[in-house]
Amino acid sequence: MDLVVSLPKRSDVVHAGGSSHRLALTVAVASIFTAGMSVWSLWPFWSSNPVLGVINLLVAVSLVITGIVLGEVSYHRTTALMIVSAAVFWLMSWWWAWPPEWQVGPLALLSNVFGYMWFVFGGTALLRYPNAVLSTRFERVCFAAMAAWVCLGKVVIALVSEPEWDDYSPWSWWPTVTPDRGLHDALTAVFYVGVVTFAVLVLFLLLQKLRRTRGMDRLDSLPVIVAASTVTVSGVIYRSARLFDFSPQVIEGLRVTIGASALVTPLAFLMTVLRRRLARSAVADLVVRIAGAPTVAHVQRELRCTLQDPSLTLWAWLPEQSLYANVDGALHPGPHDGYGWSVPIRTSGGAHLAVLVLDQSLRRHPALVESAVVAAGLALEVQAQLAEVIASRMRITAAAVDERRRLERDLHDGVQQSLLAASASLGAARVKAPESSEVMAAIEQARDDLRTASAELRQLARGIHPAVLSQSGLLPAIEDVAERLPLNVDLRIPAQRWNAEVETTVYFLACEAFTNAVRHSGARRVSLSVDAGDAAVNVEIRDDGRGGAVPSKGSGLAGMRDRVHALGGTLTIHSPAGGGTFIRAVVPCE
Amino acid sequence: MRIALADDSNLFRRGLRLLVAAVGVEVAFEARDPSALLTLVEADPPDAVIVDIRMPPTFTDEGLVVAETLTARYPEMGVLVLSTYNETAYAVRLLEGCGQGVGYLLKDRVDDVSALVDALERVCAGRSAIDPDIVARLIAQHRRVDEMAELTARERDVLAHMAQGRSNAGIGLALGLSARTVEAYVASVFQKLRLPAAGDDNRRVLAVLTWLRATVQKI
Repeated sequence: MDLVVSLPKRSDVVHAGGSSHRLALTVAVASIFTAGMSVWSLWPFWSSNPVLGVINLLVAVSLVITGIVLGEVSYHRTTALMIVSAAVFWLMSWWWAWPPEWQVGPLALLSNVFGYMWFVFGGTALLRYPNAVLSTRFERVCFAAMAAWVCLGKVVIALVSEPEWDDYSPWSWWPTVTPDRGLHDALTAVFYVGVVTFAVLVLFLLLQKLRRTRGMDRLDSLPVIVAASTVTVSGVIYRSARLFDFSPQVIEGLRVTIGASALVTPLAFLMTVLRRRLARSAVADLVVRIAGAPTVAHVQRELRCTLQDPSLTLWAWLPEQSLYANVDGALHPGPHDGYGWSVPIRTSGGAHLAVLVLDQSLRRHPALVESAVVAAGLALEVQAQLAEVIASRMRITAAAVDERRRLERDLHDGVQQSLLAASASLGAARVKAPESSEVMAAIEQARDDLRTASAELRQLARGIHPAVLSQSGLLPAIEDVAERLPLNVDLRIPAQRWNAEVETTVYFLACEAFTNAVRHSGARRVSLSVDAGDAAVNVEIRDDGRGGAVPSKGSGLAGMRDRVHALGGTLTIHSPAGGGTFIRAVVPCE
Repeated sequence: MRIALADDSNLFRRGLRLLVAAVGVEVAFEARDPSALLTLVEADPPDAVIVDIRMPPTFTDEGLVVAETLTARYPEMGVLVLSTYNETAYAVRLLEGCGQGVGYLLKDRVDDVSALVDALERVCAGRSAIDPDIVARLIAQHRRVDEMAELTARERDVLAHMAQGRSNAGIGLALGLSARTVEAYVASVFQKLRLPAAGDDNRRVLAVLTWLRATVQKI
């Protein structure tokens, strides 16, 4: 199955759901209007041949409905307009049967000249569908030539004929120059040979297009092309019969036949358009629903629902293991058709993502399956990309933690040792120096300065990365912070180790929360609990201060939120004025 | 007294050697990591060893580990762990792991040779030595405010000295009190803080330190 199909355009998706009421109303109004126009245009047939009347009324109405439904999709508007025009021209072509008193002014001539335009517009609309364009230059030239032949041919014939020779009322307005029955008949024959040639040409182009298209498009085009072929064939028979002057009963019968076959085309077209629309709206719903699907299990559930296949199984491809895994965790080297119909799911770039195993009966709905597979591929691809983004953020965080540890070690093992060596040498000098001398005073001063420098350096190093955290873990590290606080601190922390990024994040979160409690909230008591879940560490910090903490931009709390987010976690702060501050963080861990 | 030094910083070892030499303490040998230290100690055990808490290969808690090994192998030997970290968790771990004859001193103390020598002498005598700054910080936090308030100023001094690892005699010497008076203060402190009577001085240090840190509730 070819997955690189274009996605449903935005307008499809929007129209598919919201405007069905508006569409129904438009269809109803247009149908009534078209039916009214048909009753008027086909007036004589309601008494002479009601079957013909009804068939032609249905042709016009079905063409109009097809046009309206197709026109819902913005890029099909022009094609839709052509189909509606074809309906109007179709009705106009029957005005010859009107009573003479109705054929006033240029109506008869208009009917004669433009009557065959239904064929031009209808044929072109077929050629334009479903790509919405005439794909080759040859097709465009054919379209122009057809329009010119049909209109100009009729005008030329009218110049050498009387209106009644073409079944119109003898009293209607006609641009006759030199009436010549022989010339009229010859030109008419040439005209219809041309029309039939064009009809065959259109049919040929349609068949060519059918050979080029595949998948869903091919299935859509097939019934329309078959119907169009019957119209062409019956049209050729009808015209031939008229040329050879068959009896009026035969002609009338042939008119019913051509009408009936003409009806099949718009009905086939309408059926195709509606089927596409239904399938597409189901897929549009699917796309919307799985857009936020966070897991493979979610995607599978939505696919089961949309394709109505409760046995549907999604096997995700694990490139590292070269195995497929399903939602329940079962592994498989490669699901094949023995299990059902297996359809590969790929990214838009063609990379293998998963295999979908479907019930065999779904083979009858390839269009729906294809769209569903594209939607599922998108969702899975987004998930894969999201996982990659999270992984890269975690790698960056891990690198930052490593860098801080390295910096702390450099400070400790380099600067700190030098300062302490100086302190020791000074201690030795102090032993030798005479008591209460100036030398002793200078040594004492230097000793105090060194102590201050050493203390400041230690504080700096601890702020960068506390050594006790990497060495002994969260419990001793946070205990140590808590010991320095002028607050009552309740800690509930398991003596457990996590990876460095998780521990560092929780540690600095605790420091930030403690700092806020001491500096801003006037709290007397703060409690911190760390709970180890299977997949995440839950941290809760609560104080009894005045509340009102806001993680404004650039603040410590906002920084903590970013750190937690970088690990794919969440941080919530509840701090009502006067109600204390409650901070809850969930940090994922392996 | 003959001691050994273990620290990965040449600069610091040189300063320390200079310092102890000034008061007549002989440095028998130096090592830059635990395995070298253990080899040298085995060949020629000194009276005491000064070890840095952070040494190769991992620069984490090698000093604590080697202190446990040394006190287990050589019960008579004093081990003084030097640390730049004012982390009481390490001090408690050292006391718990080694029992007696160990001390935990902040490296800052190297500018005060008398404090260093005092600690060395205590660990050689099988007693404990906890840095006064660590104890002072724990007391200064004024947590367990209510219980602490029950102590008189003198009792608080006695508490601090107990936490540093001094014997009753040592406390008496430091505070200018008789051994009997100190005994009475110690009994009073234990009663007011509801501490269980400690069997020996080292257990007493551990009990007091633990009490001081005990606002932190572990699960």
